[in-house]
Amino acid sequence: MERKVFDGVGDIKFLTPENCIFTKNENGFIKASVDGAEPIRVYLYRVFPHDMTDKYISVTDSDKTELGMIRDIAEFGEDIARVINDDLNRRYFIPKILAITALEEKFGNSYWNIKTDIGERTITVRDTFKSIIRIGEDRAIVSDEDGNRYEIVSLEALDRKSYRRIELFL
Amino acid sequence: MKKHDEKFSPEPHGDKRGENKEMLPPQIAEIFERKGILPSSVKTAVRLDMGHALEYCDTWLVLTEDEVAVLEVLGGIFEKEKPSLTKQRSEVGLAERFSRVWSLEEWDSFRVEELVSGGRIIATGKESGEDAVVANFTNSAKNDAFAFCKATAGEPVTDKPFGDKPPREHSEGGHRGGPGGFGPGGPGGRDELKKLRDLDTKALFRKMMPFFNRYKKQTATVLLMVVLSTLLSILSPFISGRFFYDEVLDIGGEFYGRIAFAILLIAGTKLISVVFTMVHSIVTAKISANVTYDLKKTIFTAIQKLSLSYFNMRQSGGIMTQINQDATSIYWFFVDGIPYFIINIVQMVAVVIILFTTNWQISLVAMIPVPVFLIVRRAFMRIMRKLHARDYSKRRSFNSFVSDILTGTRVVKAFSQEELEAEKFNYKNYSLSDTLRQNRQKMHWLSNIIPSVLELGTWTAWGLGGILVVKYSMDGSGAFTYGMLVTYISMLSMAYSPLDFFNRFTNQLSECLNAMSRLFEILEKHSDVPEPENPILPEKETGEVEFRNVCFEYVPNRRVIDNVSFKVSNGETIGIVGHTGAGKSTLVNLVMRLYDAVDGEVLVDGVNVKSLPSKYIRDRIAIVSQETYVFCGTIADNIRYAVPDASMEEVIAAAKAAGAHDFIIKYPDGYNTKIGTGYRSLSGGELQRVSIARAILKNPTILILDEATAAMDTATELRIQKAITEITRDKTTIIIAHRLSTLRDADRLIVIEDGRMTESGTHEELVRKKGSYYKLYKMQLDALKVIGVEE
Repeated sequence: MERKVFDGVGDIKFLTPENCIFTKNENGFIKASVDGAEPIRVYLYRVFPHDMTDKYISVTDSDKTELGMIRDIAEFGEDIARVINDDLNRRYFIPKILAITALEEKFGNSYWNIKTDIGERTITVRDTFKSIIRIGEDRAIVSDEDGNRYEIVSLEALDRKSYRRIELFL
Repeated sequence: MKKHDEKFSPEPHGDKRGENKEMLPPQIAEIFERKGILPSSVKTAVRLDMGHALEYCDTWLVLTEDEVAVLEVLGGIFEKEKPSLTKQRSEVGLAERFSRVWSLEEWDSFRVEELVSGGRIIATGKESGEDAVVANFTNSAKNDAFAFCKATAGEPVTDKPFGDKPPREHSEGGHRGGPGGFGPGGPGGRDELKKLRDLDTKALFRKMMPFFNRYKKQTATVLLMVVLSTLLSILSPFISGRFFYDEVLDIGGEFYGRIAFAILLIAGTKLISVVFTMVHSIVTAKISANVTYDLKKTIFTAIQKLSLSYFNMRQSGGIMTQINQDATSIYWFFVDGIPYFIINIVQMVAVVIILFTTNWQISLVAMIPVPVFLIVRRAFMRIMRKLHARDYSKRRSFNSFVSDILTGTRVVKAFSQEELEAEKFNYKNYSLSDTLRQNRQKMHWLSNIIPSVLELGTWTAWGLGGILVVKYSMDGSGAFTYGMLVTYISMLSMAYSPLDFFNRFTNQLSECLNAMSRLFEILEKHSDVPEPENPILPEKETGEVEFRNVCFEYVPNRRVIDNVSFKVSNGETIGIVGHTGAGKSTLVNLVMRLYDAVDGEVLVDGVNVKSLPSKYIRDRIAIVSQETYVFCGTIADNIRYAVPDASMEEVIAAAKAAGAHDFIIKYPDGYNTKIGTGYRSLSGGELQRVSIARAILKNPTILILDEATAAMDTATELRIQKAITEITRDKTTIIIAHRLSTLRDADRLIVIEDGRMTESGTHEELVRKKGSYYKLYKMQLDALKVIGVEE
């Protein structure tokens, strides 16, 4: 079935090296000049943060108005792609849980000691069942009471003890 | 460490020079001092929890007159708290890792940039206009970051900086933030979670006690009956075993041949025991039912007092279900758990004593399988729990799929996706039944194997006992008779049976504890909008509403209403205009005191709403909101919800005024039509008319219409508006609408943008001003022109 174009309403403006120049300021922030306009600081968002980390990147200005979308950051060449990726990685930065060294459940809330890639931490997870979101079969995101998120990149790859501690909440 | 906490707990942003050293822990102050930042010059200090290289570490930010200094330190000055383990204190020496000073001459507009998890403080170079990262933080320190940025802008940081606590409690967890919150603590805040965690079984039962106190006599009866019936049930194998075989059937027995007497004795004991059991069951059921009734009543009353924010944070539908389920778990625990727990304890102790006095050698051997059983049983329970969890998750996914599809039938049909959905259903169904089958098989298999461990003990007892009976009957001493063996074996099974019960009991206990803690959490929850202790009643009901520099935030530091001031006099109609999400409805929530302003005052009849009894406010204000809600009942009941004693004629008059009468009488059941969940559903416009009728009938001094006519067609809206104009002639009226035509009769308009009041005046004045109202007006006018309508 052929899909009709939405008559301009739903058109996506794609940013390409032809209409957009990305630069980096001295402090590492990304600036963009779209259609020859003055370069401004831009904010990047992943449209599909879970499965397409370097494709479909929405570029907005400080008022959150979308200037356009990058189809694939690779289009901009290695150097710019790296800069864009760094920026995205910061925005979507989530500590990765390497091990769960203790987990105590009490009254539906649970208290975890975790080892992450950026250090150890003690977290409180409210409503444990609901706070662990599975992504696909093997990945999971845990949200603590403050709204901090932690990623378990692979449930399979967790050590046996850690896995056993959270198994019942999956 | 505690000592330090207390020292630097005072308000971190206070401007009390000289005392400022206490804003920082001494070790940190020392490092700063070495860098030339004197503690006395520090205006504000906060501790964030992430380093520049995105690692967990303490990052201290201080603000002085002319600079912001950042200091990252390695090593903890905190206590590590591990939930299930013992508290460990670690007092590692501090090592400075990174520091930077930002001169306020070069940098300004320090602000928070929120990211997916946590965020960062950004500053902009005054000359270059370029942004730079000052510090990173996780969400746990977000409030502190916001506060710090505010302080750098010289803004006062709400009236309660850092709550009543130090910015972050050092005694609490490595990097767990203390409630450094500003303004009202969110519902179910961290403090409460912590309290919940500290609650133990004893404390929970102690809290439960007052509910039982009223039934002291009955409880005593139950206990007595339970003990008596248990003792009798222990006696019965003794009578049917040893007494029957050795004293009645045996030639040498004292009651030889008196079988009828023996049977009567056996039956009699049983009967009395049954009577005792019945009495205790009846009394327990009664007490428990009453207690759960009291409990539910208390909790429901408590819930009604809680502010809206509590409900916003939870799925309100789930709350009542949860309460019901929890009360039921508690009920069963007290009816089914506690009495049998006592029975089993009494039984086990008594029986074990009897067993050992009968023959300690056999008893010793027979007890060997007990620990084995307990270990095997533990493993079994773990497997069972896993199977159950798997069962549960499959079932949940299946159920939610089915309910999703059934609710969305219209969409499924409209996009003719029936086949695809049927396929999905089959897949889910198969996977569920497959899991269930596998689980059942495993459970059956396991549950048959486990008890046989205990059988080992019984078989050993039979064997050893048999040998003894034969031995003693041969030497004629009769020290261990056949009757004794039969009694012994039945006693042995009585000793084993509680084992299984205790396992079940632990589960039941933990379920009941969970339920109790959830219920008490609600009971102990303080309303965010407490009733005034010394309510003030206005001298005169003027019908005035006034906002004085009102600020409000649902989430700390996210201003939804920012410094709004206006006054509506008696009889005046004011229109509030603004984009979706600008904060219009929030203003109404503040007048109704569903929430409290964070700053400034909201006055009704010249008195701050915080000082007015909530009943006073709600009696005088009627609101028709965009989310109309009807209760289960007839249309008439719904209209007179606020005035239950209104006559039918008044109800009809109100319905007519609201333009609801015409559609109501078209229903076969007229005003008796049942509406609400499960009954006839009304269209959006009809619902709004019913709720307008409800508000009209209440005849309030202040009427609030929050997009009350948004779901109606223009003709109906026009008609109703005429009615509303009539009704509101002598009332203070606040109308919120995004359709400007709705506001044509307003005396004055105020424009809200991003929580701020940007313009106010009459329609003509605002149009002349050519500001944001004019833009909105033009836009809507143009839209009308497109379809050929011109004003």
